[in-house]
Amino acid sequence: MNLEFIELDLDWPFELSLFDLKNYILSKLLEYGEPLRWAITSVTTHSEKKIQLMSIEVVLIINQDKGKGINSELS
Amino acid sequence: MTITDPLPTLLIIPTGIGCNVGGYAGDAIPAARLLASASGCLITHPNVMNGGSLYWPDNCIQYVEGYSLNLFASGEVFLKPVRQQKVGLLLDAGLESDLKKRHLQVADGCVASLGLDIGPVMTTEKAIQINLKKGMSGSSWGNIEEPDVLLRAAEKLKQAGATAIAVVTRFPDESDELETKLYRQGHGVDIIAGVEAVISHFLVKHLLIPCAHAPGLAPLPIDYDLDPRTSGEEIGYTFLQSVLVGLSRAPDLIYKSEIKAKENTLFQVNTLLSNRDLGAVVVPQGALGGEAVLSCIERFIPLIIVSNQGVLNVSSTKMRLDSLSGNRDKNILYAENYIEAAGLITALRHAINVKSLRRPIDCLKQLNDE
Repeated sequence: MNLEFIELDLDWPFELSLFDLKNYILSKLLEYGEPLRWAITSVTTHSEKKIQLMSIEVVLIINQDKGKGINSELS
Repeated sequence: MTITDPLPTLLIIPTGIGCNVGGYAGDAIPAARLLASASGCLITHPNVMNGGSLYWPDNCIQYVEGYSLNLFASGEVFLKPVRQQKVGLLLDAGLESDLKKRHLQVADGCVASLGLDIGPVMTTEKAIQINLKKGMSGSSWGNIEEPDVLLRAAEKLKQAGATAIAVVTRFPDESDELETKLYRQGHGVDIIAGVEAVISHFLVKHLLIPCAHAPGLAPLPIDYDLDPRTSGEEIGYTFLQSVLVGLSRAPDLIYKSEIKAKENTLFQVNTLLSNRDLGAVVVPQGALGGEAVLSCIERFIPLIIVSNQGVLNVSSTKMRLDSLSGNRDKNILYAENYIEAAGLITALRHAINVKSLRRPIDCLKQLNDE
């Protein structure tokens, strides 16, 4: 088992309610590993694209075999 | 329930984001004591309560580590207040013998002078090796090289009877000197705090007992421009004492599934604290993107947003809280400081309409006028 710190950007579509945001983020983080500690660390708005962009900083638990697929550019 | 009953309140000041109040060495303890007094029951985390050599035990404060706080806020875990925990002490093999001895002496002192129940003690089979990292946001983070080693030792402590674990790991002395200087003078982020939270999250996730971390560091040379908010970390050889005091009264963590499986469910639930009991959550403006805060928002728990500048700007506007409509926006309250937040909690606890306290005050509207 490894612990990896990564930073990634996620879209926050306008139609996605704040009340559904946590599960949305968790589902995205699970694609990379098991989230141990995370937070949204910035939100920027692109009104012309009708989208907000969130930066997430996270420490993931990566099991050795799963970790092979992680994109090192995210780190 | 009567209006004099406690109003369980969650106080969150995230670790490693340099908050003006709570970004240093237990400098949010006075705010926590005030909110505990106002609410009668405050649930908060080690970053708020650990002041290095300084601490303040308060029967109205429940000391709950961040990972378990997230589970509590989401309703997965209940809190069971206890009289005393048996705190196991987990020491990193990377601690030099003198530094290790200093920590053992602190634990002995807490038994002899404070009456805490500490032990057993365990040293990891090899150094766990800390990596400090900083995010693009300026928040402090990090990871450890040997999580399995740490976990194996912690599991042995739990098997040997520890009901909570204080962990001390050797932190690198060669961390950024400028960052450290800025922090000590009250202008920077605590660069070691983020990885401390990662370590305690990791242990709680796997063991589900209260855990908290103290860094093992060589003493720093004296700084004549020290900010008082960091002084709690300059007056002793270790930061362990506040962790031991906090953990000694930390509530047990009970999984929701455990309660359902047992008999006398109603009796049990009545003696436990759940997220349904929460009357308010107090969080800094700019730090609204954490897991526990999002869980509380999902459950419409009244949110008191306090001006408390840190490095993040994940504000109520950016999180679309300011644009909520209908009854939902009534759950969002703003405070300029923790004194004002205590007033809001008092109003909520005693059922005083906050609108009645503010001016100007609007006339009532008839529904059929709209």
